[in-house]
Amino acid sequence: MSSLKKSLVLRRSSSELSEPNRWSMLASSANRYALSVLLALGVVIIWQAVTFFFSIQRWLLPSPWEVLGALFSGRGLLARHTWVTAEEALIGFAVAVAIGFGVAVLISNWRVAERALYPYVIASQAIPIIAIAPVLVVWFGFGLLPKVIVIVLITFFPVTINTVDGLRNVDPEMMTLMRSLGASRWQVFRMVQLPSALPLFFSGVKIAAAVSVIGAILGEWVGASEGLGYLITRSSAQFLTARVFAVIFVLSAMGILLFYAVSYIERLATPWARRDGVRYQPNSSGRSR
Amino acid sequence: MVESDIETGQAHHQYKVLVRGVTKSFVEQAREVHALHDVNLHAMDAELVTVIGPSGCGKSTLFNIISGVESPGEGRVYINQVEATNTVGHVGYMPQKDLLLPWRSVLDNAILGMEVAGMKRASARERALPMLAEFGLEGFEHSYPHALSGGMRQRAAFLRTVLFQKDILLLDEPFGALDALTRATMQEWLLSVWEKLGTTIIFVTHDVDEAVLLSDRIYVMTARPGHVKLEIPIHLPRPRRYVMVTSPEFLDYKRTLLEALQEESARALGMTA
Amino acid sequence: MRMRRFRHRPVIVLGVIVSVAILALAACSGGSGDRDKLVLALDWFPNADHAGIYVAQAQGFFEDEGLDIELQIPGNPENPPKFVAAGQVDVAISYEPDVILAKAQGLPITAVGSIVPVPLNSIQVLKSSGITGPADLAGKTIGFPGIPANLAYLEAIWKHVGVDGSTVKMVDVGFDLSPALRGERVDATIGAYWNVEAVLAELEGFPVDVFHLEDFGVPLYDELVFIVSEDSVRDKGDLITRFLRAVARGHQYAIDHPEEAVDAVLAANPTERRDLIEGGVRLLVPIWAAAETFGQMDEARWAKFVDFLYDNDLIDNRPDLDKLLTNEFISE
Repeated sequence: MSSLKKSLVLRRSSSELSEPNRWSMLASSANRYALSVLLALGVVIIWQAVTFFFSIQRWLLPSPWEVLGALFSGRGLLARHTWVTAEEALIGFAVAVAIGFGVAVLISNWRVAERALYPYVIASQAIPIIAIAPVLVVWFGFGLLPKVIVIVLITFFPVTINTVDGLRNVDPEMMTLMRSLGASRWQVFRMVQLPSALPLFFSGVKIAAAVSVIGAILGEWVGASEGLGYLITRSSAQFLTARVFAVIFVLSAMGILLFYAVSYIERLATPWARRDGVRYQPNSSGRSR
Repeated sequence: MVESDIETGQAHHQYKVLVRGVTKSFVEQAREVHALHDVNLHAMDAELVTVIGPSGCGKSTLFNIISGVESPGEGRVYINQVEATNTVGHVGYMPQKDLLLPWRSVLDNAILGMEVAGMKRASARERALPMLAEFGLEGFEHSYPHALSGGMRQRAAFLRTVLFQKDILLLDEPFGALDALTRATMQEWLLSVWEKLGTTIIFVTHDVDEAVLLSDRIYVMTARPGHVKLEIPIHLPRPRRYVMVTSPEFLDYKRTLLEALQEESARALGMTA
Repeated sequence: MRMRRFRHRPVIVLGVIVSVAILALAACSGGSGDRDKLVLALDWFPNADHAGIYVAQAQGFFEDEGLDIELQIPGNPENPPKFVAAGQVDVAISYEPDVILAKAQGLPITAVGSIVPVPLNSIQVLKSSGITGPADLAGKTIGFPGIPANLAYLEAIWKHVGVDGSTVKMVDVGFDLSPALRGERVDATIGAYWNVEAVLAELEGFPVDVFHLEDFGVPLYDELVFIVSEDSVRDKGDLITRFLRAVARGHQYAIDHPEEAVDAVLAANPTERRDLIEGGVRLLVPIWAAAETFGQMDEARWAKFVDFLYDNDLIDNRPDLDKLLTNEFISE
């Protein structure tokens, strides 16, 4: 009991952060990033050393310095193709989130939908994209559509599965309470299920965000005349390995950016889970007895 | 005793809550569990009645049946002299856990019942706001539940129950998770609020002190299957204060209750052994 | 009242996501001008082979014919016949062997003109390897792109030079032929073009020797041809004629101004290396210049190649030559 009280007191005090405290929090989060920056720096130094001392051929492994050069000299090309891939990834991602969410709502609310859809949701993950993507291009041509389909196929799954878990993971006693108030199914969904599913929904969306970039690249590999995937293929075929690495760098940056953009939206959408960094867990509302 | 009251028809029309012959079994892990057996009880207008019994005597099941979310196998429930078996929305039900929605502020948790009943959020808030002070939540209306202490959360949950605006409240061990000190304060506070509200309260607890301190009448339940074993009216003067727990009358009641309960606990243990 | 605003956020955010998705789907459409639109799928990524097409595009030859050309690049060279058959594109570039194979499989496609009337496919070995001809390949490892026709070519070559084919180890390296050779994972490759990969090897400092297939027993064929669907042959003769006329002009222009041809390819494809395109165009110009009429295909030669594929069990029926190719859309 006393430890519980203490933790409550602690939460209170951290939720009433004064201005200077906020700055120190900012500094501590900067520290958090400093660690990953340091790691990257270490890897780059070792990488540079390896290419220098072991005189590895440039087409096999260019030095970080050469990759930087390729980033700079190819900036126009990179920017153009980045835009194409970003557009594909974003649209595919948005469609995947919409479909993933819709399917999750159906599955979690109607047993019939669950029986009908769930096997196919699982099966969709067994589809070898490498095999189906070329067929998609033959069916749907060279436009955005086949790329969007590839992205949706590989990204809607984490959204669906997480959202289904979230929608179901409601305290049954909460459901009893809502029923005792005479709440309709829609009210229960809107007031309890939906908000309680948001944290899990967003973890699914974050995975989807990171993977959507890979989906766009896969889509471009089977039929595209622009985009970063196309740029990788062409650069690699012409032994422009430094440019391949430059593209990979841009792709990683894109994935990270998307991921944090979703995290930001998540923080806006779930303000109750913020405050002190204590994540809301669906089962923690009633303390254990 | 209850039976005879009904049979004579004496003051039948005054019953706020009347539970008659409720029996309930359910299947749990392929085993039939006999939870309640022929339970009869009632509560009068503005009466505070406590149901006490050993763990697993089906108190929560009984509440679910009274509030209408669970259906009894046999028997009936009357609310305000009207049969209300299997119908929800007649009573304010406060479950054991506070069940505050983490994404709603204290104020918005409090108005949940009114919102479900179809009231506009703004007017519901308007109605709730002046009551926050009474419930010791003033200044916390926009806080999220995780920022509150255990006692405050319980009060917020109670406010939500009260604001459902029913004159019958079912409180299921609301103070069970609180430490002894907070608990005593909450009990006195509940009594003061109840006296002002003038509602009927049926209260479940397994704490004998709590039962005697709060109640007009106490029903003692048997171990599973739950059955009313004893009905004791408490004739302590009101307003009640926590210091009364040491008075001789209080101790007499406590002894009677403890004996009855101990017997049941022993029986429950003997059955499982 | 900041808090109050937050309360509706979850629903708003979800709404935004859903509507963006719907808008995105709705945005998947486009339109073109009053010229006849024609979608052309290349055989492979843009390279020197397509110089004539890019010139025609840059010089407005298609416009002169009232055509609006949209170029598409397939991720896989096996796809263009399927694109044509499925109606995804109007015209595609493919390879004579592939066209015959597809035709034998029943795809309703027809070749309507050649771009490169000789084989570009070749065997390539590192100059430093000391291999002087296919006869030296006994007991060696050869990388190929998994396309079975290459195995048939090798069978013919082994017969021609007297090598026991069973001593040669074949490795499917996908389309990474050059890296496999450069990294010496294989002793030779088949499937790489002597006007693309061999040029790249020279530029990258690992010069290769090229053995042309037709010099060692493989019958001559047209490496690159335009194909259309049988429906188009019937219904869109005029369109195809205009298209081929513009392309022919493009090739004549490329013969006369090779540097501008290189510029045209690069302007449209900034991902490509200038030196590589330059080298490739330089090798192709004499071949284009040698053709009497651009695009004309030799029916007898096609018949011979059909026999070659049939004899090597790559096809189980001989496609009808009349439906396999036609020169009727080529302007004299």
